[in-house]
Amino acid sequence: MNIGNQNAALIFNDLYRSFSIAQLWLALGWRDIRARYRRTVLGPFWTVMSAGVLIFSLGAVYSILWGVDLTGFLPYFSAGFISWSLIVANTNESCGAFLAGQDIIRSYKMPYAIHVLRVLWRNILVFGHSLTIHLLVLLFIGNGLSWTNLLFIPGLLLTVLNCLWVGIFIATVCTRFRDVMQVVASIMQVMFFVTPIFWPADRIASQPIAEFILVTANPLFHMVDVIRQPLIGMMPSTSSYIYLSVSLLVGLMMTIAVAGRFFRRLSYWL
Amino acid sequence: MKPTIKLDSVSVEFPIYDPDRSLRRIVMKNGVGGLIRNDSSTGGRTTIQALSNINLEMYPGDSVGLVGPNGAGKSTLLQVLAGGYHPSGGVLETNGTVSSLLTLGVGIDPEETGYENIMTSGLYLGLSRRQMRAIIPDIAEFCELGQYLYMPVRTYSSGMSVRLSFAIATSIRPDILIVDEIIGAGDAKFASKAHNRIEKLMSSANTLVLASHSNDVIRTFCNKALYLDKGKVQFFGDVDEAIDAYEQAG
Repeated sequence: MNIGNQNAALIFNDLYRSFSIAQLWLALGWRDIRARYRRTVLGPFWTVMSAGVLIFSLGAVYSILWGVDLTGFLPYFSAGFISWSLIVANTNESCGAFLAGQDIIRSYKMPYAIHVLRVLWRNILVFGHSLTIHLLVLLFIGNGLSWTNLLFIPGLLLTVLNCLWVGIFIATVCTRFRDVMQVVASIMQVMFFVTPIFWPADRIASQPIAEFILVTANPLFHMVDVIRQPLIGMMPSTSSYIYLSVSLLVGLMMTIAVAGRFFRRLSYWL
Repeated sequence: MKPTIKLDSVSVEFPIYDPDRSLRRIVMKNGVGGLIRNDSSTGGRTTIQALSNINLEMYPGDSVGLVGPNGAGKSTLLQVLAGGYHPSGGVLETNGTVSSLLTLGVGIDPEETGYENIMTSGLYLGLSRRQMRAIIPDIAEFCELGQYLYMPVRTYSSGMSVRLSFAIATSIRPDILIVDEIIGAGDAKFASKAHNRIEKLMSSANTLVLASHSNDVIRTFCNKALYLDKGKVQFFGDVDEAIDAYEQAG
């Protein structure tokens, strides 16, 4: 068996074992949420509160800045912002996933992906809570609900699967090279401003080069858009689905090449 | 017969990523601990050779005692067997469920109650919630924490948390059991109870690997012994012969 196959077998075996003990990381994800809001009155709804305040205030300001109608802009902004929060929180928190689980990694014979899945699951839970804000926006400011909204589920699945390989990849690299963590955090901060989240994507349609870089080629745009478009009652473009399916495939191969090689060394780096 | 544990030229090398400048240049043989190396074979990095070229086979029914001085590689070998480290060279094969009593209290969340921690620890040990529910009465009875199991672990005294982690760690019956020194827990009365429990656990394991500095403990529990020094197997076989070899060398 050649090295590539061995690495692939290692990663798929790790993922398979991780999913067969889903009970564990599902419980740990919930526990993280509980721990974050322990002994607060509102509990996880603090996430909802702070996201709500941010969405309503910034949404109002930006709709004035761009000179667009609030009823159209606010649903766009709230759907985009909660999707973005899922992606950025997962990316940043995955960096330290193996470091946070180092006692477990060195003491139990456990697959490694559970530490990334735990991070991913708790951020999906946060996303679920934040969704209530968007629901309120749709009901009171936007155009109400439609069946198209439900199409956010396949989009979410595609984005989450991409988040999973990014998480495993980044967690492995960050465990060895601790500086990468800071690099990732600053890149994600910049990406928030250059990705169309608080500005409408069609604003730069007149500049083809900028549009290509910031929208067409930007993976984060597609990850946000497959969730955002259905949530505001529109169909995401087919190209987004294709883009994300290809990136999932390419990303998986990258993860196999890097994590497959480095998983054996992981506990030595902690 | 199929071996439960098989090591095929297993080596473990710990890389040191933030070495002291002066340490970086030192290549020395130590009185204690693994060999610190820094040469072209390690790509200029400082490494500590904890185990080198270990070949071993253990079979069902084997109780293997590990003897050797500090830094011989006993704990590293146990950690490798427990699955905490992949060997940096060679192949390790284990057949059967593995459980270890190396560090107590890993994965215990002080904010959660005793019961919640029992459940999560069980999941770490590879049991399902249903299997865990079945052994909770045993854990609760053994640790004698009573109503405290409904309280967050941070409210426990240190002795109480040790009781809890010890009860959890000794509650499952693995095929292969890895033990680093038999640790007593809690007050005198509980310590003797703990001792009985660990003895029962060790005798029920299919294969036992036990490291101890006490030759009496090794003689009591083991039918084979492994004398390890400087990361290498010096002798593997009869208990008395291994202990003799170790004592003569010392």
